[in-house]
Amino acid sequence: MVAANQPYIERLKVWNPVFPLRDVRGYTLVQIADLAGMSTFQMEPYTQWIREVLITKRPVERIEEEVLRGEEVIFSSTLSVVIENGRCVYLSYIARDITNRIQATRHIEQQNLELERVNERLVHLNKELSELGYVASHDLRAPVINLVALHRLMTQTVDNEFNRDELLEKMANSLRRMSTTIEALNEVLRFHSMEENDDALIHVPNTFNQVCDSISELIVEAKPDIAVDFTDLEMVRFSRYRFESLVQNLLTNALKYRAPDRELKINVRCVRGENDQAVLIISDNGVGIDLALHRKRMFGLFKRFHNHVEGRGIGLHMVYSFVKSRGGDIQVESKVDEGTTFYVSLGGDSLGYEQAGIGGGR
Amino acid sequence: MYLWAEIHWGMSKRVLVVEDDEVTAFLTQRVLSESTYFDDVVFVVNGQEALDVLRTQTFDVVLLDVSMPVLDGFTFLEVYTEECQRNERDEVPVVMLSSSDDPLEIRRAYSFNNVIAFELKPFSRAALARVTRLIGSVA
Repeated sequence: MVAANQPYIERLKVWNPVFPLRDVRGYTLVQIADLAGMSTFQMEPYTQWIREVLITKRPVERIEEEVLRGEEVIFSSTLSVVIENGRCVYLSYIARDITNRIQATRHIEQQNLELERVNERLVHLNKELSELGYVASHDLRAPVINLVALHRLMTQTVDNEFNRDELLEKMANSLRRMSTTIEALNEVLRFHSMEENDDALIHVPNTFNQVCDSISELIVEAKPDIAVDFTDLEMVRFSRYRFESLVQNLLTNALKYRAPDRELKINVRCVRGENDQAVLIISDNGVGIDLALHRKRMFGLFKRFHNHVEGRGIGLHMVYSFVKSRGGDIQVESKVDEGTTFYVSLGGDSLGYEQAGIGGGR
Repeated sequence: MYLWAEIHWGMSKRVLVVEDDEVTAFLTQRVLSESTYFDDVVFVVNGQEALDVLRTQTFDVVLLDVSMPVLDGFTFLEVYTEECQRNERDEVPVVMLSSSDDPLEIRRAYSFNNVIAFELKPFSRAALARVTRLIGSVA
C-alpha cells in the first residue's frame, strides 16, 4: 500500500516481505512507489489503469504477462485507491501469481481442441461406417436378391417360359456384379485399415512422373497436354503411398472424363496454402460435373456421376477420406462441359522441410 | 392435369421403371407383364433419364430404384419435386423399390409427398397388387 502524497520510499506503507516488491513485475521499490506520485507518474502502461481506478473509484483488475528471469509469469493484479475527504491517500496494488492456474487452463483448452479434432475424426469415421453399411445393404444385397429370384424362376417355371441359358446368363451377370462390389469393398476396407506410417518428404515432380509412368496406357490413349508447375512448392510431407494414390486418382479421373470433342488439357500445381498446408491443384477441361446436383455426394462411396465411362465410384471416396483424416480437405470447382479443378489441402505439417525454412534437401 | 386424368380415366396405364441393373429390370418387367393393369412400360437406367422422360411424357406411376449411377433415387426425388413445384406441375406418384429395409431409408422415402409406397426387391406380384390398388386410390 502506497501513500499518495509523500516522497518515494516513505510513501510505501505496507508490503509483503515474502514477495519482495522489487521483484514484482521487475520494477524496483522506488519505481513502484513513484506510481503513487499521481502528478508525476511516468510509467505509461499504468497511467490509464490508475485513471480508471480514480474515475470509477473501484478496484480494477488486470491480467498481465511478464517474463521474469527467463520465465513467463502471469499476474492477476488489482489496483485500488483509498480516498479520504475526496482525496486519494493510498494506492493499493496487489499482484497474485496465477501462472499455474492459467497454464492449467491453457492445457485444458489445448486438450479440448485435441478432443474436438478426435471427435471430428470419429464423426467422419462413423459416417464412413454408415456409408459402408448402406452400400452393403444395397449394392451387395441387390444381386443376391436377384440370384434368389432367378433361381426360383428356374426351378418353378413349369411351362418353360424362359430359356434356361438366358436365366443362367442373368445369374452370371448378378454374380459378376456381386463379385465386383465385394472386390471394391475389400479395397476400400483394406485402404482404411492400412497403417499410416510411411510419412516421408516427397519430391512432388518425381512422384508425379512416376504416377504418369504407372498409367502410361491411359495417357497414350487420351493424349493430354499436361502442364505442371511445382516452382512454388516442390516438397511435401505426407504418406508416400497415399500421395501417389491421390495423384493417380485425380489424374486418372481427368483422363477418363475428358471431353471427346477437344484436346485434353491438364494443369497440375503445388502451392503453399493457408495454415502451412501444401495444396495440390489439378484442373482439366473435361466434361465437368453439375455441382448443384452432385456436390453433396461427390465423395460418397460407390457414387458415379457419368455413365459413359467405366468406374467403380471408390477412387474419390478414398482420396477424400484419407485427406480428411489428415486434417486436410478437398474443394471442387466444376462446370459442365468446361472442366473441373480439385484443390487438395494436405493438412497440417504437409509443407516439406525445404519450404518450411528448416533446411534439409531432397 | 385434371383434363388429362378425365380423358384417360379407365384407359391404359403407363409405368416408368427407373433401374440401372439389367437383371432387376428383367425381373420387374416379368411381373409387370403378368398384369393387364399396365399396358405401357418404359425403362430408363438412372434418375437423370427419368427426369428427361418425365418432362415430356406422362405416367401413372414411377417405380424407382434407390442406388443408381449419375442420379440416384433420392437425388432424383429432390430434383423432381423441386422442378414440379417450380413449374406448378403435379407430381407423378412414386413407388420406391429398394434392396434395403433400413427404417431410416423408409422414413426418408415417405418424407416426399409423392412417394406412395416403399417396396422391397424383387418386385413381386403382391407388390404389384398393392401398387395398382394405391394408384387406383390416388387417381
